[in-house]
Parts: sequence; C-alpha cells; structure tokens
Amino acid sequence: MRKILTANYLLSGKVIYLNSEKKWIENSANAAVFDNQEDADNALAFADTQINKLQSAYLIDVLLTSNGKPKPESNQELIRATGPTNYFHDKQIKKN
Amino acid sequence: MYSYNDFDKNFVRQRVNEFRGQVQRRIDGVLTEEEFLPLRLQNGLYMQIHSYMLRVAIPYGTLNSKKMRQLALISEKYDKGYGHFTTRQNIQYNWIKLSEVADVLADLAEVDMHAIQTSGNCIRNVTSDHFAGAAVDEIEDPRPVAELLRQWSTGHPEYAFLPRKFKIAVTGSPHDRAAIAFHDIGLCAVRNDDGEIGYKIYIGGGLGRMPRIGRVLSEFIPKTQLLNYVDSIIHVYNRFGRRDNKHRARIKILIDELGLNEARRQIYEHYNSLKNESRLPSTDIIKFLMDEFSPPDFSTAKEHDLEKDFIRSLSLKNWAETNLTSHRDPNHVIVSVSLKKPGATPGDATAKQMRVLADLAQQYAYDELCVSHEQNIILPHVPKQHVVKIYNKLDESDLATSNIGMVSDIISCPGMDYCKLATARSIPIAKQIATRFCELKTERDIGPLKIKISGCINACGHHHVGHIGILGLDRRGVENYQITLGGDGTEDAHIGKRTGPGFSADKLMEAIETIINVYLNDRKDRNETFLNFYRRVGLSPFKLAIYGLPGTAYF
Repeated sequence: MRKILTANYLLSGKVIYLNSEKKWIENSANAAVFDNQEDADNALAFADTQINKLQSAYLIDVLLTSNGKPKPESNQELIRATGPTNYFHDKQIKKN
Repeated sequence: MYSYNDFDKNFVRQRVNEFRGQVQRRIDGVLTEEEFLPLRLQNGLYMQIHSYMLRVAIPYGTLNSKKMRQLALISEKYDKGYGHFTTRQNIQYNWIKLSEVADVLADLAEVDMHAIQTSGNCIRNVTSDHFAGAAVDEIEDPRPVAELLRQWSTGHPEYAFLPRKFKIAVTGSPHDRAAIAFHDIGLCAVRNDDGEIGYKIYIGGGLGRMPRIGRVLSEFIPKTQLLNYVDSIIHVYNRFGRRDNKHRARIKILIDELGLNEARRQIYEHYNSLKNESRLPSTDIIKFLMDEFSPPDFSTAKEHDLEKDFIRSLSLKNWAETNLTSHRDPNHVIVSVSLKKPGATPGDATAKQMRVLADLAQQYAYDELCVSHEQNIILPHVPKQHVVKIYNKLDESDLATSNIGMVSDIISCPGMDYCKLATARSIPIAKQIATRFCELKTERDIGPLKIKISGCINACGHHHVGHIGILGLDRRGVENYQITLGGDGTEDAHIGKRTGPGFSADKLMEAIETIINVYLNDRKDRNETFLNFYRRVGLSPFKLAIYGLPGTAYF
C-alpha cells in the first residue's frame, strides 16, 4: 500500500496534506507516504485530535513519480491536488 | 416582482444569525463535523473537492439589478470574482470560507436573498420558465404560483426531512421551457372549458440514474386548491417514499411501485380530506401575488423597426437571429444573453459581467433579469429601440456570443473540476466541443441543437434531455463518455437513447463531429432540425457512423 493523508482546513476549506513532521501542507508532493496500515492508522488518529482545525481527514492512494514524490492515483484526487482544469487559480500560480 | 415584507426579512435575518451561531459552535468545537453537516447543508453550504461551495437560491430565476450587483459584490468580496449559474436557476460560489459564510448570507439578506433549502432532503428552489411574463404563448405569468409555492414550502416543518430532495417547476406556457416533465411535480397553466385558468399537474418526472417522464395526475386544478393539491402529493410521498435506499427514494420510484392509479387514489384521499378546510390560499392572496408580478407599462416603448438596425450591422443581425425572441408586446423583444462563449466555462459570469447585466436591466429593461435553466441570462422585456445599445454594451463586455439554442450553447454541470460526486470532467468537454464548432464555422448551418453534459449519473447537466447528451463516467480510472441521442426537455418530452459503448475524452470530439455530419449529410433540407432528423431515422445511422459495421471492435 501507498497512501497519504488529506483533509480540508475547517475555516478556509483549503485542501491540505500531512507531511512527515505532522504539519499540514498544501503541496501533495511533499506529503508523508504511508506504506503500512499501522502508520496510516496513526496518521488518522493524529487527525482525529485536530477536529477543530479540519473539515475531515481521509487516506488516499498514491503512486510514486520518478523522483519519488507521491501523486494521487484517482482523477478526482489529482484534480483536488492540482486545482480545477478550467481556470488558472492561485494553487496553479503558486506552483509555477 | 415579489418584494420581501417584514416577515420575510426578519425570517431570513434570523436564519443568518442562527447559522452564524452554529458556525461559531463548530469552530469552537462544541459541534462535531457530523452534527454540523445537516446544519450547513440546510443553509446551502457544501464541501466540494477544493473548498466550501455555497449555493444561493434565485427563486424562479428572477433578479433585479440590485440583487445582481450584490451577487457580483459577493463574488469579489468572498470568492474569486465570478459565479456559476446553474441548471436550477441558482448561483454557486466555489471558493467560500467557513469563517466568512455568515457574512455572505448577511449580505444576501440585505437584498432579500438566501441559501435556505438549496440542499438537503427538502423542497428545493421552485423553478420556472425563463421567459415568464414575456412569452408570446403564455396563458399567464407562472411566477405568482411559483412564489406561492416558495412561501408555502420555505421552512415547512413537516417537509424538512423528506425521503429525498424534491423539485417543483412551473410554466405558464404550453411550450415548456422549464422542463416540467422532469421534476417531482410539474405545473403547467391551462384554461378549462369555462375559460378559468388553473394548472395541469405532472408527477414523478426526474433525471438522474433512473430518468422518468412525469405523468399527468390532474388535467386541471384551480389556483385556490393548488396548495392543498401539492400538499397532498408531498404528504403521501413523505409517508411512503422509500427511506431505506437513497437511490430509490425519489417520488418517481414511489409512483413506479404504487402505480399511478393507486398513487392518485392515496393523494386524492388526503386531498379530499383537506378540500373543505379553509386553508390558504384565499383568492385575496392569489390576487396579491398576481399584482406583485404585474407587467411593466409596455405602452411607453415606441414603435421601432429592428430591420433597419440590422442593415447597418451584420454582427448585430447574426446575434439577433439567435438571441432575440418575440415578446408578447410588439414593441418589445426578449434578449437572451449567452454565458457560453466558446472556450469559456458554461454558466460562469465575472463580477464585471454581472454588473453590466445589472446596468442594462436597470437602464433599458424595466430592472428585470432572469437566469435560465440553460445557464444563460435573460432580459425579458427590452423595448426594441434599445436593442442596439444593449448589443453594443454586451459586445464590449464579452457577452455578445450569438449562439442561443445552437451547438455551442452547451449545458454543463461543474463536473469533476469541482464536484465531489462527479465521475468525470464536463467543463473541458463543453469547451472543446464549442471551440471546435466555432472554428469549423458550421454552427449556423447545423441550426438548433442542444448538447447537455453531466459529469455523473446524477444528471445535473440534464444529459438525458439533450438532443445530444453526454454522460461522463469513470472506467477503471479513465474518464469515459457515453452519448445519448434524441432527448427532449420540452412538452414533447423524450429521454435520450444511448448509442452504445462510451468514448475516451480524446475520441469523444470525433464521435460528436461524426454524429453531426450524419445529420448534415442526410437531412432532407435545412428546415429539418437535428432532433426531427433523429426522430425520422432513429439511432441506426448514427451507430453505424460512430462504431462501424457490426463485427467490428465495438460490437
């Protein structure tokens, strides 16, 4: 298995991911990758302690790119990570 | 146009304050997300894939300049400077923050608007004909009845937790522009033998995974009995609608399971028990609502020969051919403003464009606008002498696309670019098709053709009733698009038939072009529309053209 943990910030609604330092970040490529159930469950348990900060938290399947970075596997999670494809919004601008 | 009275204003403001408190309790951790979910949905706030989305109700699509300007302001103040007009005549903001949502609702309340009952298993925004009050064929303006139903259904305590959502549409014309046969209840104005105006009632229509054409429950219900009648339908649905299975919970399935006759028997049993009660609406209330929607004084418009304007400008003439419709008054026209510029996102308008539309309505068109379920904006009453000025201003603002009812005037849901339920993207497909036919310059030759695209089986993009319908699905992680042909959302209601296996995004354009070429090559003449051609020849020639002969890979 290869999973990362994602959520939305409660107040802003922004899409976020958990990194290996247990910080919430906006770039999915820098998220912590869990390759065993125990680590994934621990991450979810950590998110449960932050329900006043998060809208919801869940694990998603990822692939690893050639440089070893996680990339969401499903189309929906990929669009969620990179922004809508019809407008060039702030998320895309920040990355370029 | 109906104006809020003090009761309405207080009601909406109280709801804003109540929701402000609920949001604060969620932020403070007093409410869990599970507890907060139904509260935010009852106030139109969804969590979509990127952010919160707020769906704002526009009852029967009608706006004035003040409301439109406020929608523009909200898009700039709290969102990214644009809004998305939907197939249910609402507007959606895609980038709302929870910390600001109560302020958005307070700003809406300032102009007598809200987001109540735009989500959840309740009676949703009542929709209507976007040419209401202006249509040549209208028996009566349907909006007083729509407003009556809106007032009755807003905050109705018995119907706050129905088995599933419930959608009502009303039209005042025999030519159905409001797709009433595809609503849980559809109402159509009719005259009885005595010349009295009442409403014909359809029930059990709907799109989604099990599309159904609504069936006639009554040929004529007097206006004074309408609320009792609608109440009786929803009363039976509320008691017996399936609550055990979300996918079988709409009234259409109850009608399937009971049969129309038994459903009618149960509805009439309740209706007859109410009939003699002195319940609303009285004739006074109906008259009051009719007066609220009194037409403007059309006699102030001068006679004006538009043909002379057309001689001076070919682009105006081209635009007028598709975007102007005859008005009930000979000195006026109905102007449809397209939000479907090829390459743009269908139904989206920037704050600047919303303000231009507000200015035009205020300056030239009796301060009235209407959102159509086809995701365009209508100026219902335009004196002919102002058409040139309106066209020029629209042209300056990138709003003069001349394509109403044509191949590039595509209905599209937000699809997977925004929606959590979507299984594929819709917007890029709509953009691609519109751009392609614009480049080919064949749109005028093709003539009237409605393409409707949904990004999932829930059918917010009305694909079942597209002359060409496109349904985006997920096939093992790849977007795949099924095509249906022959759908029709008008009074001649039809559900489109699927051509066969779907197409990947990169093959879809070729298939759509092939379908349209079959029509162009084989139609009798230019007067035979795509839909009429389809009805004459059926699916076979299209299947042959897009899949090849039986025995090839697709068969």
